[in-house]
Amino acid sequence: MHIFGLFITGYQVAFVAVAGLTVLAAVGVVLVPNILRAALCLGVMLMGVAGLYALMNAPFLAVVQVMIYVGAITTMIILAVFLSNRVMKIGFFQAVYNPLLAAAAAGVMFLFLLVTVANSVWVQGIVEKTPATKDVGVQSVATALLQPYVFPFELASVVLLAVLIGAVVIAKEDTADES
Amino acid sequence: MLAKDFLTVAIFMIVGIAFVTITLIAAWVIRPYRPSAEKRGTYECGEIPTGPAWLQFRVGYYIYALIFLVFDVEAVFLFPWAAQLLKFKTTNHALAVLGFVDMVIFVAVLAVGLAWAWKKGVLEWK
Repeated sequence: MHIFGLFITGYQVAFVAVAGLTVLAAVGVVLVPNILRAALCLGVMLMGVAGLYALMNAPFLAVVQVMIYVGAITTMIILAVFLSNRVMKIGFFQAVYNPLLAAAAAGVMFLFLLVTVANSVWVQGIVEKTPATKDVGVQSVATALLQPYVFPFELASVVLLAVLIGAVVIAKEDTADES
Repeated sequence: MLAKDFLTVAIFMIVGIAFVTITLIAAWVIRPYRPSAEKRGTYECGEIPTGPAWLQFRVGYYIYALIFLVFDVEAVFLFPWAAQLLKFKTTNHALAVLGFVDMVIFVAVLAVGLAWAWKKGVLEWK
């Protein structure tokens, strides 16, 4: 369709909608005073990132994003909020204790991203050109996991085991204190 | 283009959000407005609520969430493996056998962790 003399594809409309939702939710995470609502905004933002992955022809990554980040990480953050002592106090607000330091940290991060984006090589029309086979993402991930990256793959299970043991050790002490 | 497959997801999301919004607006328009102190109270299955809703939760919830996260990440590795193993069986038999052994080791390491957590009594709800 044509808007103001520009040819606009459905893909561009979808990208602007999903990217806009993601940015709006990200702004919400920072600006919403109630930390629980900020966590819910984070969930919406992560969902938007999954949408962006889907639009960038990475369906497996989109599914993983929904599974891990929207499903598990958001739950973890909300539970961490519930666990906090300060929740009991009325008006658990996010606070920027040092605005200058926060601005400096955000500025450094922005500069880093700007330099990275400026130095990247952009391939034109990659989304339209890539083959339309459905399992291309999953297949290449599976082959990569089994052929060149077997050792990191097995190492991942050891890292997960460390997470499991760490969680049990830390949380076990707390329950002992309670009872 | 693969992104077109996600058009279904987009339509589903839009219809879902519209359904909830329209239902809530319709209820807001139609319903009579006669509030009382009892109606304004928090609904807790007929019980009278005690204390504030913003209280500290037990750490037991968090440990369940952490263990869930560990096995969620495991499922992410399991999924592409499971989707492709049968294809490897026909195309590259040695790779299929290797892949099976790899995954058995992967799952076994985590199973040891789960068994240890179970033995520690973390999974019991006190």
